[in-house]
Amino acid sequence: MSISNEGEWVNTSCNGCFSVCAIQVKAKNGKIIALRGNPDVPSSQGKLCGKSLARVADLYNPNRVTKPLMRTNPEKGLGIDPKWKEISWERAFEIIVKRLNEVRKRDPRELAIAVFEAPNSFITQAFGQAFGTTNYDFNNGGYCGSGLHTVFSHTFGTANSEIDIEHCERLVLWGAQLGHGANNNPTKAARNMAEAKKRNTRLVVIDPLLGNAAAKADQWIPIRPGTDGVMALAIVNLLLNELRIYDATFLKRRTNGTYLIGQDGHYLRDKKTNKPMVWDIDIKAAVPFDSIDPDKTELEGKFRIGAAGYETAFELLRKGVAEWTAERAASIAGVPVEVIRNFAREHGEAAKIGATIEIQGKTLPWRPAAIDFKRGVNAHKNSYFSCFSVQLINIVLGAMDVPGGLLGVNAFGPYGAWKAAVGEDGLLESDMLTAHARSNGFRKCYPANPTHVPETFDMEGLFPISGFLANLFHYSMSEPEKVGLDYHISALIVCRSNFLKSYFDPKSVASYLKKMDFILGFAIQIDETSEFADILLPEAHDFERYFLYPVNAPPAFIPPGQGDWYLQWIRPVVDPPEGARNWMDLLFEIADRLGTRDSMNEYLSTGVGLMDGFTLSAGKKYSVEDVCRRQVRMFGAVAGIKDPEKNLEETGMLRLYQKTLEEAFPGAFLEARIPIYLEHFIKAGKEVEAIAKKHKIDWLDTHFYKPLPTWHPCPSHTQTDDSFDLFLANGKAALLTHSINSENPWVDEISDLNPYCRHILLHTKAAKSRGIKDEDEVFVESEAGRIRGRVRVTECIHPDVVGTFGNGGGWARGRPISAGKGVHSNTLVPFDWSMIDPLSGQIDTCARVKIYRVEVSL
Amino acid sequence: MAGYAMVIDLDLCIGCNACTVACKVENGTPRKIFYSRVLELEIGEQPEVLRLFLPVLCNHCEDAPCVTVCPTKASHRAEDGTIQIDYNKCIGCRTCMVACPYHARSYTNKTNYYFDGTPIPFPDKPKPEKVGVVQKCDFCTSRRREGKEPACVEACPTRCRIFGNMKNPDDQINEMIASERSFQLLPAAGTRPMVHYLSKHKEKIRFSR
Repeated sequence: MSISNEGEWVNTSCNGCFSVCAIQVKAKNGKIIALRGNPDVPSSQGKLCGKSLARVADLYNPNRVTKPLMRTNPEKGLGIDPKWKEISWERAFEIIVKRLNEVRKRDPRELAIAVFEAPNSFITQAFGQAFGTTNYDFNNGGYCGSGLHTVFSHTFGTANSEIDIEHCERLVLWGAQLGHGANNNPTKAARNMAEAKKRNTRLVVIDPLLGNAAAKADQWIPIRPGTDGVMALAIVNLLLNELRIYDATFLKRRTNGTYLIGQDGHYLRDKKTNKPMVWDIDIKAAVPFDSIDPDKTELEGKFRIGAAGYETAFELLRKGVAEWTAERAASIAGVPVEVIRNFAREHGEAAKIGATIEIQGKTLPWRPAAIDFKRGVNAHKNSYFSCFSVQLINIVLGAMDVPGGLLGVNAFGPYGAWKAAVGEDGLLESDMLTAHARSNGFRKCYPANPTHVPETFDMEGLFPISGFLANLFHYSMSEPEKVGLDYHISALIVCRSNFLKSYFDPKSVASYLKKMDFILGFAIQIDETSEFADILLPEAHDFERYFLYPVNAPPAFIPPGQGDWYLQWIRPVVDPPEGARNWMDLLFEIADRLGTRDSMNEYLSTGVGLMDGFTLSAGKKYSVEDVCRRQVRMFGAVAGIKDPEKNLEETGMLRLYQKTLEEAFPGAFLEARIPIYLEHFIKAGKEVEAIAKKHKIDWLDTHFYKPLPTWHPCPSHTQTDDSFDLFLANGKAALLTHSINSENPWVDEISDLNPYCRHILLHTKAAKSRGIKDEDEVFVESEAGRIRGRVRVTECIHPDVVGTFGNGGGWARGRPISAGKGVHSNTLVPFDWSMIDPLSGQIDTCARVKIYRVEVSL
Repeated sequence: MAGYAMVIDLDLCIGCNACTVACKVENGTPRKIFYSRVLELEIGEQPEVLRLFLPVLCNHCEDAPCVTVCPTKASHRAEDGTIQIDYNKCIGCRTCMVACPYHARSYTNKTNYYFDGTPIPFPDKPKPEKVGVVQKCDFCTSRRREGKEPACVEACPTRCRIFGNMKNPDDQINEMIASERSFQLLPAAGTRPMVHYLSKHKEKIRFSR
């Protein structure tokens, strides 16, 4: 390959984090000389973050891997030198093929593949399928979220969320950083957020740490980690039972709040149609939910039919949340009771229930108060219910997928590619994903998936209601018998994932990695996970290679709400250094040599949805560029765009069309209902219980399966050793979101100058009572491990919390710039089966810790 | 009078450091040298605690102490009103660094690349190495000649930095500078900076290095 665009702006996208902002890059003499946001593409509008701009320096790091490497030290472990030896490509392929064939012959399912590169997981998927394994959806997704994505799937029909900032008057970011250097679509959201601040939009941030978003907030509410669900339930309680602020029209029309529930917890069903029943106000009788104008149904109340009593789902929710008083929440969450009360009142009033707005000549509901929530709420034991409880605030106020509210990230796809629609029992069901068309760990999750003893390492079968299971591999790989799996993983391919550092308790992860027979990795620099590889292949930077198309999948990376549909690409700007290759082309070549290429072509065609006329043929050796351009031509044909490749080269995107109002605000048009009462959990829970019993899966607490939200403490909340007297929290630093860039020399230096991001944060009072001073060297210790670092005494943290920003404290030899800088707080998070949320499969990131000074002996 | 000025709306700055990086890329400054950076201030106690991001750069002062003290006239006011350093005249005595109350100037006496022997980025026309002389922000003279805004302004994703010319009565920055939220750093130093700030917390902001 040779690139001929000397000195001209090349239109591509940035892969510095997963948000793929459109960029223009200029090269001269094979070197990148300039980088800027693409002014004509909505994702960047000519602007970029510091992470992206700094990438000019990435390519010239002298520690880049440019030759295949073989480990010569058979011993593997944290900090152990692999003693790399350079080998020829031929030799490398020989070893890889021999080792993978051994696995394939024994049992192909023993191969697992890790990947965290959004559009390209279809490649690992197709490689895995052709090889004979379905253990290919494996990444470090412990951060973003099983509970979060599942709750969005159940309530929006899509897996992500953003606030409709443009029409919002009160924005709440709860454990989230939308528009402040993190989260999806960061560049566009940053601009929208700045415009909102100019309009004096109120911003409230709930977070244990005063991060970039909280710094800009009108109100910062510090909270104890893992207690978000309690505070949310208390707010729902205040809204429903005390303030009585809720959107009754919305609840009647768009939720299952009017469905009648029997004593057994199940819907009252129509004998003829089996449909859930509601109470008809006029005839005072139960009728099928879809046989009546929703306005004519009772939202509240108890009803007697024959000998049996029934209550509406809303009535049960209202009673159910009554136990979560503001006082109780205050004492658990460490938030003053009046702060919780004021929040409920202010937020309820700001939602302007009943208000409408005129957009494009149509009158739509307008709910200008919205709560977005992300990792801070999600990454805990009570993940599903905490996320669901926060989302309930949006739901009871009707602020769902309407102007000013929280928006699902594109529940409707362009050209009707997917949609949210009325599904089982009238509830929202999406055809975006099916149970078997998994992508990056996502799968469809309503109705509940079948339960069975797991056959794959994502533990599918044990988590029927969950829509995202990518982070469970580490547990099942460490002890497959605990899951009922009758085989183990003996070989790994690691593509673009440094899970040893980004997952929890590296000692535990290392202990099962050590047992693997064979690990193949791809590397630009040799990171912590790469140090466990047997063979490492040098890979190209994203400025040097193609990606599958499009790179900005609409369910995550096209902002929801009004705007255009547009599809970006990633194409090379410069040639990779001699020796480095696109990791996906390397997987193709391995498939060629394994004899699985024809089958991989077929799976890839299906996986990425190539239509007739564009499918990959057997017997042909396509490159990633070939596949990418084929996809581009297909999208061009669908959109009626002439010469789509030229179009992309010239503009950086294929612009499809302006979203319709229905696509922008589906909440105003949909009839499908959102569950406020999770009836289907009852059956799912019983099924899981039976399987767990039969297969002696004792760590899975099936008591979590309840139709009404509750709050379960994290293991850290119930820890009995009082000497661990503080909670651990980790936040995002704007310049370090996603740790791969910490090795960038500029990012490294600017991080050094930042007073917080490489220190251990301790509240002024907590420091004083422990005799700890600013810049003191300390140990932070949990039951899982100990880290050492310098203290920043600050007011920017909840008094009961020890905090860190970013994922520092790396130890990889191949990343000398950032090695040892900052602290690795994941070391403190226990690797323990009690950390798994039984509903969503999310891993808790909480830990109880103690902090003490490093005593220097003279 | 000087005309070029910058207004930085601190209420919009999210501390992302896009400006800091853009400045590094534009000027190819070595380690430890930042013409533009973002200071972090922590003010007060919970629940009123403020964490503020304060981008700082050369203030291109109307009464610039660096110009007054420079023994060789290397530091001077250019025709366009900005404060510039003539690197051929600078003898590296660093008197100006002491005189500048904003610590906006830097000095190095050796090449100090991030990667050994590799200046990054790779500009079209490599800028002369500024070794043994004092260096600082020049309000992006070369970009202004091409009709572009300074690199930090172009980069800012929240558009919190506005660059303009106060001599032009129609320029929006005149109105911004007249805002109630407007202030300058260290007004008591009498330097009359051309970098203005906007903040609803302006009374609480105390600049120190």
